[in-house]
Amino acid sequence: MTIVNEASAGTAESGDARVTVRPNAGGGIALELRGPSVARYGDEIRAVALSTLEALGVADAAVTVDEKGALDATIRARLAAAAGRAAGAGDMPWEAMS
Amino acid sequence: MRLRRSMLYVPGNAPAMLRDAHIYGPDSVMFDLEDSVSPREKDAARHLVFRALKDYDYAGVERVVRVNGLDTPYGLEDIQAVVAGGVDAVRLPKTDCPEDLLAVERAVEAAERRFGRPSGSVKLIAAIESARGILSAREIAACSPRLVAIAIGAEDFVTDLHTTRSPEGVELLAARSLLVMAARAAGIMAIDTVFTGVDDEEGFLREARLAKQLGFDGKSVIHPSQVALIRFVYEPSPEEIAKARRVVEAAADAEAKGSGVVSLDGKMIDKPIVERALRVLALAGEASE
Amino acid sequence: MIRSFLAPLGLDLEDDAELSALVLDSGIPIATASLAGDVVKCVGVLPGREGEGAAARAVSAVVAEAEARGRRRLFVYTRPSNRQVFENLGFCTLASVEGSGEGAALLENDPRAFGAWARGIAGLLPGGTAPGAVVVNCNPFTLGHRYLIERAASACAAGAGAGPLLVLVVSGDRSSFPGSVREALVRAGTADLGDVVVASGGPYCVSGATFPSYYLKEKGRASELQAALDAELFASRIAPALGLRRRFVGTEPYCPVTAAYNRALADTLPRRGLELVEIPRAESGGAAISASEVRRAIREGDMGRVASLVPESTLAWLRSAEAGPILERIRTGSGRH
Repeated sequence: MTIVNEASAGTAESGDARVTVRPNAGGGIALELRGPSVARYGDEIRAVALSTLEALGVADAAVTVDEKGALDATIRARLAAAAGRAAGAGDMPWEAMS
Repeated sequence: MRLRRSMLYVPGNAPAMLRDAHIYGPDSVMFDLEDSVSPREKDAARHLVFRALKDYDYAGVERVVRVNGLDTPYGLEDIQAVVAGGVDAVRLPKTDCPEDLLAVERAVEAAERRFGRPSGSVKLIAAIESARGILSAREIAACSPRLVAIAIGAEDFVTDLHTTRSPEGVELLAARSLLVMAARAAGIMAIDTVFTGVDDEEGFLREARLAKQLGFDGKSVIHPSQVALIRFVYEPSPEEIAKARRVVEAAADAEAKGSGVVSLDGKMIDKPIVERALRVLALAGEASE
Repeated sequence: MIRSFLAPLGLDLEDDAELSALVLDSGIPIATASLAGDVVKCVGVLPGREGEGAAARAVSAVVAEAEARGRRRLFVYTRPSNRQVFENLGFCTLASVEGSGEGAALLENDPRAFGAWARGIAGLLPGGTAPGAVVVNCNPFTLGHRYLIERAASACAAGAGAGPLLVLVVSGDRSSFPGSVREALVRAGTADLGDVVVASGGPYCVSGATFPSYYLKEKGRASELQAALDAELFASRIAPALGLRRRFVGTEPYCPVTAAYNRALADTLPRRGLELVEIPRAESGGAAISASEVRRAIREGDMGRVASLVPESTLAWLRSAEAGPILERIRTGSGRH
């Protein structure tokens, strides 16, 4: 999946995360994390974000995750949705996303 | 014996609700990708539901997803995502005829192959929401071995009839009864429609008791507080439980003796009575094989 | 002032409230919230002023003050219908029970904390799961507990899906014996059992001492509701996270609170596909061995009786210097716990 646009998914509500994905051609993955869980669980959230991007085949992207007590599953889902929108992707590789 | 007394609706675009729905004790949770999700958020909701199915443990609660119809741009991809995610049952809205359901069955079958799930592992539930659908209920209910339940969606149905919902539900009487009959003829379950008055406990209990009396196996609910109320409505009385235990014991005795005849208090007990007793015990939480 | 604000709302201000927040509108109180330890409670809003965010402001103020005091992890007990106020403030519902009448919900302010706790326990178990568990307070660890654990462990070691017994010790210091001591005595008393894994229940095995009843009209229902809530938390969160299929309890002839617990478990567990196994209590001199019996004997200075009720490891600790202040408190105090 190649990121060609900027796109977002998610809300600022409790339990959710607002994720924005932007192109970052040749720059690899740049990840910015914000939110109440980041101080204590930042490493976990980072790992979750990176593995999601890897499963989608995204090599270059600038990603912002602004979470409000979102669990890993929510972060994965919001990131995948934002990436899909930013790549203009149609069908998803569900089998790769485990 | 899988119980479906309560099927708790959860909008597919609500992360916190997807995470927590099962803790309120429903028999099934139904993640919705259809009417509660706006077109702009269909893709995002699909991802949320996929991850919820994959990552959360729902403690044995049945996981159902209401997908969009195959006649929408979303339905086919919904089916891919939920089958891949491990859904227990796919619920099809607005089922008007057997072919609607069979088309979904074909898509589910293909998805099972694609994602390596055993053929037939994904069940189907059909919601009937139109006059045409109710009149075809008998054929719909019998058309697929994967179909485990049919449900009635009252809001769309009464609109189709050119009327509105009333508290007594007289406009739904025929449809409800037909649905239950179709379900029984096909040997599957019948699920009643949602009651939207979240704060109207009296009204909910009235409708739930009516549904139970009509023969419905359960009801769709939209709020955790309704889950406990449904359990209360379907709970057998101590007398019913005691009687059911005796019937089941008598049946077990007869089987142990190798006798085909079950008797209790000098009377012969037919198979339907034993089955009903087993259902009572299942409702009482005394599941036994 | 807070008591008189809460009273017409049908709410109590509980005695252990350490601090409270009061939201005023032109000098009139419209909402309040209090803090006791790490529990936010006694939350009330003036009827007619709901939906304005006043309760949220009271709760936020209490949370901010708690955090300023270094208490980052907070819990809330409330009516299920009030969940939304807290969920909007970042709390996550752990368990909720409703019936005809009152209900209870337990929430905490860190949605990831439970998962982290469960993963920690799973890390102690082979394959991350165990076939069965007991939840014990052990105030202190007795021969009765030992017997229960032995029987439960052998049941777990047998048959298909065999594995260790998970022993979760209720944490907290409201019992006569502090949590760290109770857990240490359990470990010492089961050290020779190879198929037993001991862990702290953390805040997820609810202690009756912390359950607040401030909003309940029928105070007598408090222990019943708390038992139901604890059972739900076990069945819907703990058991799935650790693959538990069975929960073992000792039959309870004396303590009504524990008896209520067992009833709640018997009601809740089968509904979630879990099995409750009741093991008859070990006896000594014709009576079931219980920790309350041990504490009574301590209070009466009857160490001979104590010795007949507890294993050597517990007795050794009771004779140690560390035990001194605790035994003294038991002898002079009048509390049942």
